[in-house]
Amino acid sequence: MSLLVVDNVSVEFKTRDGIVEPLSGISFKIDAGEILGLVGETGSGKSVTAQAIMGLLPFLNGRVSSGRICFRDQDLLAISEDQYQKIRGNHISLISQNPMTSLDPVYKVGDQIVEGLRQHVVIARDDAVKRAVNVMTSLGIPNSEKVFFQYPHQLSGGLKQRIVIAMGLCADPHLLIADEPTTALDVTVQAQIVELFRKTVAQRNIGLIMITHDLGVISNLCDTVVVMYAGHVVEKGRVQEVFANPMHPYTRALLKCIPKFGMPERSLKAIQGNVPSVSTFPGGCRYHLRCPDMKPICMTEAPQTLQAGNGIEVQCHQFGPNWREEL
Amino acid sequence: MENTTNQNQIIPPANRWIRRLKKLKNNRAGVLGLIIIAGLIITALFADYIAPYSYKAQDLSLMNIPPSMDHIMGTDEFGRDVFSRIILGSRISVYVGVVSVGLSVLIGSLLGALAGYYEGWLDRVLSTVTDLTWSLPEILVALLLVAVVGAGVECVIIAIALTYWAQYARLIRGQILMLKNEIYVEATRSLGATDFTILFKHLFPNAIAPVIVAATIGIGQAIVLEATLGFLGMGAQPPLPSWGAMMSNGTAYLFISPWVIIFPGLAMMITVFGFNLFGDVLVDIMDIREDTLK
Amino acid sequence: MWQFFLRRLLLMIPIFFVLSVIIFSLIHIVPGNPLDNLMGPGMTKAYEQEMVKKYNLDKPLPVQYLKWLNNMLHGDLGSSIIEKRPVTELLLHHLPYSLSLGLTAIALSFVQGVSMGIISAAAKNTIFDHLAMMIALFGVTIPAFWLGLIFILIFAVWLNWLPVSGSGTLSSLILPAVTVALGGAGLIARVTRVAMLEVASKDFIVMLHAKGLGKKAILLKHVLRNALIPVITILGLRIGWVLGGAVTVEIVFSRPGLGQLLISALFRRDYPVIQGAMLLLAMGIILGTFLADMLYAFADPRVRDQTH
Ligand SMILES: Nc1ncnc2c1ncn2[C@@H]1O[C@H](COP(=O)(O)OP(=O)(O)O)[C@@H](O)[C@H]1O
Ligand SMILES: [Mg+2]
Repeated sequence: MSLLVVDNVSVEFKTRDGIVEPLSGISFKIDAGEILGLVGETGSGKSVTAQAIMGLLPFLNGRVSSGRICFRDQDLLAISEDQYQKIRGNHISLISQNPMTSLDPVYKVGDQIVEGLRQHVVIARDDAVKRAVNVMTSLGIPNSEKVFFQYPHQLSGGLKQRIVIAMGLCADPHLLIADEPTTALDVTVQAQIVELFRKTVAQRNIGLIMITHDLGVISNLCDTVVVMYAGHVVEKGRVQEVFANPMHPYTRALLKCIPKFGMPERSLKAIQGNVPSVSTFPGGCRYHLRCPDMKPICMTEAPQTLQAGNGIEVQCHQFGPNWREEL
Repeated sequence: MENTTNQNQIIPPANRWIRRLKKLKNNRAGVLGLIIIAGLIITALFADYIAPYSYKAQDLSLMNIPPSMDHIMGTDEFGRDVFSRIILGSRISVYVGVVSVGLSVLIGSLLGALAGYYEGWLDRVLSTVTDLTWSLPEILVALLLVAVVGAGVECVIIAIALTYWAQYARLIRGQILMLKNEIYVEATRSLGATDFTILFKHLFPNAIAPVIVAATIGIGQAIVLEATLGFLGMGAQPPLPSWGAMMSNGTAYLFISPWVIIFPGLAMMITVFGFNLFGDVLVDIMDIREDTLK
Repeated sequence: MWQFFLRRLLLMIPIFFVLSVIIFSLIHIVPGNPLDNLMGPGMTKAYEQEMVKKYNLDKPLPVQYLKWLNNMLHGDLGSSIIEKRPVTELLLHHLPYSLSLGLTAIALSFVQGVSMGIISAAAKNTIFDHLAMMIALFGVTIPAFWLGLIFILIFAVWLNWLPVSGSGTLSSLILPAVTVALGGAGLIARVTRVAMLEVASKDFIVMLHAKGLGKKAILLKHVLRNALIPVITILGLRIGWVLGGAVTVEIVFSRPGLGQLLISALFRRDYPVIQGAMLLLAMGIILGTFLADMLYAFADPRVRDQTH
C-alpha cells in the first residue's frame, strides 16, 4: 500500500477575474521511507499541489475539482474538516515555502512550534518546550533556548526558515512535505538540513515530498522525481533513470541548467522565457511555446501520459504514435 | 486576499470615472445614499417653496400640537410648524457641511500634496501637526473658538476646517508618495514637464479618490457637529432655524412635545446615514483599499 | 520597550506645551481687558493691584505664561469669577463624574465594538454581518445628544425603568455611558471587522490551518489578537471623541461633570474656569493617547523594538 496516492487531481481557484485551474490532472504516489522530489519552475503548481494534499485549498478560495487524494488508503477528499484537522500537522505536515510570512508576528517563535505540537500530542508544556529546543538545535540554530523566546521580526530570514522547518519536524508525521525549505539558507546549513531530512526519513520510515528548484538536491537526496510544468506532470520516474536519460524536452532543459563541477556559476543556462500564468496556459502541449522540438500536433493536441521502458512516465508527443519526424 | 487594488494601474482618469459610474449604478446602497444626498440639497435650495408654513410664524393657539394632517410633524412651544422649520434648517446644515469640509479639503490636499511631493522638512512638520490635530476633538476646538469669538455658524465652520484638514492632508500625502515613484512620472518629467504640471495635472487627479470618500463621510460628521453645537446653544443663532437649535429649545418640552426633538434628529440621522452610505460605496467603486483610509 | 516608553513620554511635552500656550492666550485674545477677563469687572483698586501682581500682568507675555504655568503645576488655576471659588476645587468636584462616565463608555464601546466586529467578520456576508454593520453604521451616524434624549424618553419616561438624570446612583451612569459608547462601538466594530478580514487573508493563517488548529482557536487566538492592534490605534486616536461626546451627553443627562462646568462657564464668560476645564480635558486626551500607545506597544512586539 502506498503512503499517499495523488490520482488525476485538478485544482481550481476562484479569483476576481474568474476561475483558474493551476493543476490539471496530476498523478503520482509515494511510499513510506521514500523521498520524492517535486521540481519545476516557479508557477508550475508545486505549492498548490502541497496545499491540495494538506487540504488547505478551502482556506484559499480553491478546491480540488476532480481526482482523488488517498493517504494510507483514506480518501482525504471525503473526510470532514474535523477529521482533516486531526491529520494536518500531525500525520501530514507542511514546511511552508515562505518563512517570512508564515509566522504569526505577535507570538514568540518557540510558542508557535509548541502550539502545533500540543495540538495533537498530549505532552506537558515543559516537555514540549524541551522537544522544540532540541529540534531547533538539531537544525543548527545557535542559542536555541534564547531564540525560542524571540519574536519573528527579531530573526533573520535563515533563522525564520529553520523555525518553520522545526514546526514541521516537531510533529512526528508519516508524511512530510517540504516546500523549498532551504532557499534562505547558506550552503553549509543547507547541506546540514538536507542530511537531517535524510536521517529523519530513514529513522522514522516516513515519506518526504521535497519541493525544490535545486536539481542538485534532487539527485543527491531523492529516490523518485516528479517534473511539473504549468500544472501538468510532464515526467516522473526514479531519479537515476530520469537523470541519466531525461525524455521530456523540459526535463532535458532543466538538467542542462545544473552547474557541472568546475563550471563557473555564471555560465548557468536558464531556459528561455517563463512559465505562462494560469490564465494564459496555451492549448495543446503547454510546453510547446518554449519547446525546441515543437511540431504542429503540439499546438493542437494535449499529449497523453506514456510509459517508457525504464519505469519513466512522460507526457510528450515525441514518444507517442502520432509523431513523425518529417512533419 | 484577492481584492488587491488595481488602482495603481495607469488608466486614463476619464475612463476610470465612466467605469466607476457604471459600478455605482449597480449598487443599491450607493444609489440610496445618492438619493438622500440629492434630496437634501434640493430641499435646501428650494426650502421656501417646499415648506408649507413660514418658519417663524408663531401662533400661540397652536402650541405643542402633536403631528396631525395640518402639521405633519406637530408644532413647537411657539406654535411654529416643525416640518417647515426642519426644511429651512437643512440650509444651515448643508451650508456648514459643504463649506467647512470644502475648506478643509482645499487646505488639506494642498499641504498634503506638497508634503508628499517634496518630502523633507515640510513633510515632517506636517506629519507632526497632523498627528496633533487628529487627536483633538472637534467639539473642544469649536468650544475654544466660541470662547474667543462668540457663538455662531462661522465658528463651527472654522473649527471643522481647523480639525478636518489634517485627515485629508494625510491621505493625499500617502497617495502622492506612492504614485510619484511610478515610472510614468519619470516619463513625463523627461518630456519636460514642470513640478507643477506633474503634481497637479498628473499626480493629483490620481490621488484624490480617498479624499473624496473621506470628505463625503466628513460632510455628514460636520452636519452632526453643527447640530451638536447648536444644541449647546453655540451654533446658528435665532431666529435662523437650525436642527440643533430646534432640539435645544425642545429639551425643555421633551415630555410634553417629544416630536419637536424626534423629527429634527431623524432628519439629521437620515442625512448622515446617506453620506456614510455613499462614502462606503465609494470605497468599493473607486477600488480604494480600506487601509488607506485609516 | 523602555526606549519606546520614554520616547512617547517625551513626545507629550511639546504637545502639552502647545496646548497650554493656546489655553493661556485665551484671556488675551478674547475681547476686553485681561484683568476683567480674569477677575470680572468692578474690583477695588487694592485687589486689582494684588491680582496684577499675582498674574504678573504688568510683565511681558512670556513671563506671564511661565508664571501661570508654574502656578498651574502647583495646582493654582485662579478663582472662578462667578462662584468665587478656586478653579482647582471646582475641577476636582466635577472630575469624578466625567471620569466615571468616560471610562465606562470606553470600556463599553470596546467590548461592544469588538464583539460586533468578531461576529461580523466570522459570519462575513451573512445576515448577522449585515445586521451588525447596520447597527455599527447607526452608532456612528446618530448624534450622541439626540440618542441621549431618545433614551430618556424611552427608558425613563415611557418605561420608567431608570432615573432620568442626576449623578448619585450607579444606574444613573448606565444611560449616559451607553449613549456615549454607541458611537465609539460603531467605529470599533467597523475597524475590527476590516482588520480581522485583513489578518484572515494573511499567509500565516493558512499555516495555522496546516498545523491542524481549529477554526475557533485560529479566530480568537491569532486573527483577533492581530486585529486588535489597529483597533487599539483607533481607540487611542479617538479618545478625544469619547470625551467630546461625554461633554454633550453630560448636558443632556444633567450630569455635573466637566462638560457641564465648561459649557456654563462659556455662557458666563468665566475665563479662569474655561481655561481650567479646557486644560484638564486636554490633559485627559494626552494621557489617554499615551496610555493607548503603551497598550499598542504591549499588543504589537514589532512596535516595542522600533527605534524611531
Ligand atoms: N490562492 C491562489 N489563487 C489563485 N491562483 C493561485 C493561488 N495560489 C497559486 N495560484 C496560481 O497557481 C499557479 C501555481 O502556483 P504555485 O503552486 O505557487 O507555483 P510554484 O510553487 O510551482 O512556484 C501560479 O500561476 C499561481 O498564480
Ligand atoms: Mg511554490
